[in-house]
Amino acid sequence: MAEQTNVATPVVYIPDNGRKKGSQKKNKRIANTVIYIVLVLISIIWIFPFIFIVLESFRVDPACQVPNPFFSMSGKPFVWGFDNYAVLFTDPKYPFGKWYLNTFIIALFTAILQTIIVLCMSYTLSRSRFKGRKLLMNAMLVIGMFPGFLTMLVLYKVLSSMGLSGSNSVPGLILVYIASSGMGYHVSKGFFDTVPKALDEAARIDGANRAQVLYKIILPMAKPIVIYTVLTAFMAPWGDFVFASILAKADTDGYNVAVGLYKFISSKTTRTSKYTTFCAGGVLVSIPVSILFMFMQKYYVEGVTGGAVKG
Amino acid sequence: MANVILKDVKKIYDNHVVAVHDFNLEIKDKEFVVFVGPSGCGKSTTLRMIAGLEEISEGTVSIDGEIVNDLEPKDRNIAMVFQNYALYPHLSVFENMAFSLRLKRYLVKEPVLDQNGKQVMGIDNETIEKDKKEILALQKRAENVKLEEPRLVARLEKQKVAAIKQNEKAKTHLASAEAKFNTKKAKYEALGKPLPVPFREENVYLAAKKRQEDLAYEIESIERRLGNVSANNQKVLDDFDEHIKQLEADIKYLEVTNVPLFKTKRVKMPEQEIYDRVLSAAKTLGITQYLLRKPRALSGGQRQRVAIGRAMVRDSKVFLMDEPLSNLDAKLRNQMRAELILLRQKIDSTFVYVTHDQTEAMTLGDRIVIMKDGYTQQVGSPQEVFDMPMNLFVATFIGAPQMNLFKAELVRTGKEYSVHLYGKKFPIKGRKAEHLLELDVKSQPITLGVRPEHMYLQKEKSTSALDLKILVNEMMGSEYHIHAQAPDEKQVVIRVPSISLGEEADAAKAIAPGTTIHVSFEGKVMHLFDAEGYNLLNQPEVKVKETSIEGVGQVEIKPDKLGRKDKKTKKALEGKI
Amino acid sequence: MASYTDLEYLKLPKFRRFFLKLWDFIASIPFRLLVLLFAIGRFFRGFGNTVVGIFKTIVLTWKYGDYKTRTSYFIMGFGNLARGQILRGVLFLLFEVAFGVYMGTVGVYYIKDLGTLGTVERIIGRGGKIVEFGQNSFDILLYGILTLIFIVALAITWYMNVKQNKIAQEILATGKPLKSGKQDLNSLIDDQFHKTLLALPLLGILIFTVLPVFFMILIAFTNYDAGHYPPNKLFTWVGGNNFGELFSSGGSGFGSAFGQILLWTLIWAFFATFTNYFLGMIVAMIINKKGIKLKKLWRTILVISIAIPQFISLMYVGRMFEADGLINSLFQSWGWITEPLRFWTDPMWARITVIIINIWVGIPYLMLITSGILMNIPADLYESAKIDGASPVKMYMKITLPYMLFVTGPYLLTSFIGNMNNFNVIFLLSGGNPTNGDLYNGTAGSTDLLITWLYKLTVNNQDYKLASVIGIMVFIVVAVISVIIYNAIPSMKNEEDFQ
Repeated sequence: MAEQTNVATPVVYIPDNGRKKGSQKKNKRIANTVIYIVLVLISIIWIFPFIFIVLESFRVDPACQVPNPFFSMSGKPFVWGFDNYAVLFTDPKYPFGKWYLNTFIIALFTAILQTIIVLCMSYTLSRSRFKGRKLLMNAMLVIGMFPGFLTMLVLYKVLSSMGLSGSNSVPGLILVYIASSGMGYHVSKGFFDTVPKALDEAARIDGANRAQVLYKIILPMAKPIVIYTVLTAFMAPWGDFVFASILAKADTDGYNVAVGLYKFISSKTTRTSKYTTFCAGGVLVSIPVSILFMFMQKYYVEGVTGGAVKG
Repeated sequence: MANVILKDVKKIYDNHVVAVHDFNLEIKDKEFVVFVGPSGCGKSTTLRMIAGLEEISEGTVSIDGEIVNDLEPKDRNIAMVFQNYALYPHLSVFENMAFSLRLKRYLVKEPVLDQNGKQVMGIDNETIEKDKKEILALQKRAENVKLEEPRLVARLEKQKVAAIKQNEKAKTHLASAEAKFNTKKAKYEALGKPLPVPFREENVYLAAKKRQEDLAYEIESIERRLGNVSANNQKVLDDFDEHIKQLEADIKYLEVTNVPLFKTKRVKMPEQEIYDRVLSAAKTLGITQYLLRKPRALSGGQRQRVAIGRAMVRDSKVFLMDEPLSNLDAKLRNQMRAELILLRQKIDSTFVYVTHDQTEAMTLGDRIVIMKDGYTQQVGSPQEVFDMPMNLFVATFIGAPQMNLFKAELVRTGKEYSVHLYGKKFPIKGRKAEHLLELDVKSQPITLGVRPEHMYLQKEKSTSALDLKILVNEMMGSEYHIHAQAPDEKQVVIRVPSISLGEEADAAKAIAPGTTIHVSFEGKVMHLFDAEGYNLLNQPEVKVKETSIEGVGQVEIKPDKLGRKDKKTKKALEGKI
Repeated sequence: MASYTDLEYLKLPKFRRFFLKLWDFIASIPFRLLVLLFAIGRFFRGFGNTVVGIFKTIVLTWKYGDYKTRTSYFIMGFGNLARGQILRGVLFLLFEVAFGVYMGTVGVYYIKDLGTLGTVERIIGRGGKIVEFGQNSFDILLYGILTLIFIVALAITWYMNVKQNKIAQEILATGKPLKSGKQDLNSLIDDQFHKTLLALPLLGILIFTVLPVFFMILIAFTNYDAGHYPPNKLFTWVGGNNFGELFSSGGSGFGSAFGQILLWTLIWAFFATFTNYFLGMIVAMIINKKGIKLKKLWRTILVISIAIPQFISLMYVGRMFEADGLINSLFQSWGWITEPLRFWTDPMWARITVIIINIWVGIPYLMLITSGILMNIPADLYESAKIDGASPVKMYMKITLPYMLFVTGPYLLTSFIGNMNNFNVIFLLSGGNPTNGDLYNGTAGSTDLLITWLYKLTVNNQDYKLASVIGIMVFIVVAVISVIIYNAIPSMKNEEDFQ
């Protein structure tokens, strides 16, 4: 006979581990393999444009009008040669050598002067608590929200009236770059914020005035950020298109490499005829910049994650 | 039953560094076991292997009778409290504690009801099916074990052969390194120049020596394991058989009896249940008023409690704690220690606790496992470990201030034993003497250990009292810690209750720095250690390496100024020179 | 709404809690507005106080000043010179003289026409010969502003001069000496060092950024465009006309074009920022995963693509997608397609292509940044979750993502704004094409951002007035977004959450 049992026992919750045991290892291995495949794909996708650029820079086949290295529409095979590089330096309509030199000079001066200005700015903003500091930083934040390009119009007029445009745009560009560079203080300031104020105070007790504190104590310690600033300042002018094109207008003597290379491929006609030359020019520009970047990558990550991300 | 059994557990990292050697332990259900030892001794690593956060290189870990080597941490039914609390920063305290409860599905047994709401009785086919499946699984596992055995033996043999080969190589390396070292040393001495620090040849020699000793030990341990293989397997097979028999009996019973029927369902834990569990845990820990706060708004002690609470609500059978009190300040630590003891009574689980603080180990543990450099030094209850340390390391690690050690002579004259130290004679009587006789211990040079609290001051000189000169004394309130100097410039620490010194003025005079005092101790508090550092009366089964402190039997490699060990030394350690 | 105790609150079901929070937020809005109002009030009051203070100083210093002080009101620096502070006195005096000279020669000439920006046009006779030079509106505006600034500078310097006299009198009254020129110079490298360091950078910023921006803002209120181009033509103030055009409806009007381009700019910035962010994070995570070998190799490969100057990659990759470019040629020769894919000619395709290529450009940067942060997340959080039974997805959502969002919050904001103004990517990839005739007479294309449209208007159409208007609108959009996001996301303020 069935008896009534009032189930008054509390409900017991038993954790359910009903999965297949031992298949976790297999799952892990599958996951890892998939990841390796993905990584290989990523590597290919990210590297192949550069491989192609280098290959194309060596392609000498004027009859082939199509910019791709292996499948020439005319059925001709790939012809190798250094001609593209030679053309860069001999074509009077496209004085690549001058552009390179221009950009190099601009980069050099900008690197040095900009670093000085940025360091002055960021050190002061980090260390000194003067009246109006907050106001100044906010004001710069607000000014920074305006598209920088707008200023070029005025500056062009002024600089051209001083003769610093057109073929003479190199000093003009340098001036433009360094004059407003103080606004890019954030990363450096972030770095200086991490240097303990106790160091300053100890130096001042030892009798140094503020200038000596900066130059004897802080700067030697600030090597990573100084290097970072110098290198970023050096690399930036190589890629600046907007300001350089405005200032140089149509005068090819005053171009930097960015504007010049752009001219190679901007119109449909030059795009095919000058394609390989463009690649050669690109390679020549990439080499120094890439080497510098690889060298500076350590400082880049330090600078970016140390300063910019935390705001 | 939530016992944890570790058999021959070993942890080897990718760079061939052995972090844990041959860890064997049987933790009984509801026992509180403490792993204690200095930094780097492998205690955390072992704990993490139990938890499943580290791969087990060799050996097995089983929880509740089931081998868990291949199980994910979440399937092992364990809960863990971390040193840095590991609270999810953006979740409230309540959510932190409820986190794991929300993740899993749970099996609930619901009674099967008929139309009238009464529970149906009948043949419980569900459980019968389950049991049958389990029998099949067990049989399959028994098969696997039987199949594995020869394979395991073959593997061990191969390892042994490889180890012996390496040992031979290491011996030759050792010989050459020793030769080089001796010639270099002779050269320096001939020139009368001091030996350089660090002395590269010496380091290489020491490293080669260490390597060779490691390998010798390795061979020993493999042989031991080979011997144990069939015995272990037999035990496992017997266990299986027993289990199967029991299941068959159950099936027999269930096939003919009407029992109340239950349905097993997989459900998410309902909110009410989660709420109840969290609330009761919070009440026990006294954190109900913080339930809505985020971790950043809590103090260290409160965070610790939340971490414990998070582990508590899971009702798991094994509780793992990785140095939970290390991040708290001293006063809070004492308080939490007492609370942990109280908590232990309320929670019905097995505890495995890791710490580097021997006070915690002694007060909290039912049993203590003392480890050093990956080797287990001694396993025992706090009292055992305190009264009968197996080696010098355990003796000096447990107890504060540290035990005093002396180089002395054990002299046996016929059936009488005495210890000769600094020209004084301390006779051994009573049980200790009997024990020594039983083991037929001969006269030998020993290390004598006497704890500071076991020494007492004597007014007069005597042949069984040491004459020591006081260097400093520390006033601790109810007692004095006297630091005195022995004739061979060794420092001795003695704990003296203030009461025994009489009036304050007399006390001050009696133990002023510079005074000579007479210190004695009884035979029964003496700890006798042989030349290798093992307790004469409590020899371990397996002589573990790295037994001692301060140079006896230990190989120490000195790094250079910047703390680096040069490449050659490293290579020698790995046996590559 | 009733208020709950903690325990009761916990018992509430989720949606109830959400509504509670929402109601609290809404109920707090009037309060917040009030706070804002008070803050504005306080600001103005502070401002007013300062002004009053300045006037007071001027009046009282005159009243109590001795003859040296009073003379300084007219001959700046007199007081300093008379009291022995040669350096300061000479500097003040020079400034006054310079100002006088400037005003006399240039200033007066330009400032009188500031209101009209010139009335006399240039007249070119037959053969291109200039019969009458006329006035140059641009110069008038530029130098007029410069003069105004100079006047303001003079006022400030004059006030400084007055104040110095006052302070000097007070110091001398107590018997203490004044700072000598040598001491002044010394203090420039000590307690006033910040002024020394900031002087040059700030000057540069002032002249090369602030002044031009201010100038351009004013241009927005003129009619400076191709038809009013100095020196041959004049332009003049038109008040808010240009802005009126902004809000004009009409198919190809400025207003509707602006609206469409603004929309695309925001959409683009959103996708550009967040696709890069999450995909970059995922790549960083899979490289970082335990059990993946050759971590350095994968990172280096990605880093190489940053090392190449961006404009080269952009130009090259952009050309790859042309109708006769690499991709189309490859596909055609493999027989996958018969017609070239319209990457750059179809508006929708162009937009998607631009976003995708931007992902290619941006992932390596994000990977680097997120890698560094990922390694900082305490490992025991993950271990605890592992023991609790969380799946990898759950761990990502509950541990990784909140942490990352917290740390990179400010970066995301700057990145978003940066993308809104990302000239290079759009211009060098698609050139803003395909051109859309509907957008203000075809001055803009379907992938144009506000900033590239600005560029085109300036360079191709010389429509400076509208360019300025766009510039100002960009500023407003950016400012509004920044303010909202900064105040809405508590993570920007609560640093201690994550210690």
